[in-house]
Amino acid sequence: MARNIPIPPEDVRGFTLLEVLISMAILVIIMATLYSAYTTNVEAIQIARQNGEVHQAARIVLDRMTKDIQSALIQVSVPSEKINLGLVGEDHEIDGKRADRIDFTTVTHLPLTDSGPASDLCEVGYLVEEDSEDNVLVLLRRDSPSVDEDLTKGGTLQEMVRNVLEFNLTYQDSRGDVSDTWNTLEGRPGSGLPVLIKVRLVLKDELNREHVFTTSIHPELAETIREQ
Amino acid sequence: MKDILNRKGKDQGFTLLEIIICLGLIALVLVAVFHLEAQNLDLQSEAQFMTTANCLLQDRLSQIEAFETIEEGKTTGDFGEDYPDYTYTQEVTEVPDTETLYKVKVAVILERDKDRKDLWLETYLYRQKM
Repeated sequence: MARNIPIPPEDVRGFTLLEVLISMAILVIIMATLYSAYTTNVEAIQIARQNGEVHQAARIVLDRMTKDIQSALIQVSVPSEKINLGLVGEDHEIDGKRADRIDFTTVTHLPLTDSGPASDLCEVGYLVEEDSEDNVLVLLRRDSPSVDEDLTKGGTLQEMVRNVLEFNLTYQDSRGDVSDTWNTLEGRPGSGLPVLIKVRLVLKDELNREHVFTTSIHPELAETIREQ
Repeated sequence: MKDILNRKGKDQGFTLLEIIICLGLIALVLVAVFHLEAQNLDLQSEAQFMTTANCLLQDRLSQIEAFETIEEGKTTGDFGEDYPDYTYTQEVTEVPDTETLYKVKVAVILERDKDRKDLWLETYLYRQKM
């Protein structure tokens, strides 16, 4: 048998063990460098994607909220039994996290339900609730096309954004005094719209990093209604 | 050069020149790929800045709008500890011959690691003379 195997001539023999070892070592070094570059890249992409998602969600929420609050419409007379236009902002906390609530009448109704034709005038609210399944806070937008005596109830709830860590609203009057709550239905003098509503929204992404968004909204009718 | 394609009989390896050209090509491709990657991240952070700066611009503008009197002049400031690298400048000038119209120019500036981004907004506000 052994005789049948051709003996290779000198110049066609394979590599020596040393050559193979050295080349493998070089290969390992190159692969390690490439791999670390690759994983860094993947991490960067993941972070960038999360940033993008959270920023987009926040942009949509704040944009909608700005439009709603800028168009807020109230009446300054004493509360009636049939219809109440106003703005009520309350302080709330869920598990030690600020989770404020605001309800107001405005003219930016979104016809998302099949409840038939409705006017632009509607009740809108922003509130935070805990999702019992995922144990996370969810920011909801309430929109009710029928304006009635209680402007904090009714309508449909729509989920705006999940993984909320903080939703804090503060109200500022024309003298510059800042308050955590606001109620135009109490009927006391000077209880028109706040001239400035400061919004602070903190969101958590899937990598558990916090993103803070703050802005201020000026209800366009704040001065006009106060002067009357 | 014929030896590159025609190697019958001679089982020689690659020449140094071939290896160098090959490595050069790989390096070129890798540089292009990494450059693209970096550019992508740059764009992403640019988009992120736009969102934040937009919120902050609206914040400034609402505050100017909220107060009954508008004062002429240039002011600068920051946005507190939530936005450590952000500053703003605002410039208010009265439009000549109107007495009720003000030109407001607000800029949000981000300065981080020698990198500077800014976003400008210019608008006109009406205020009744008291």
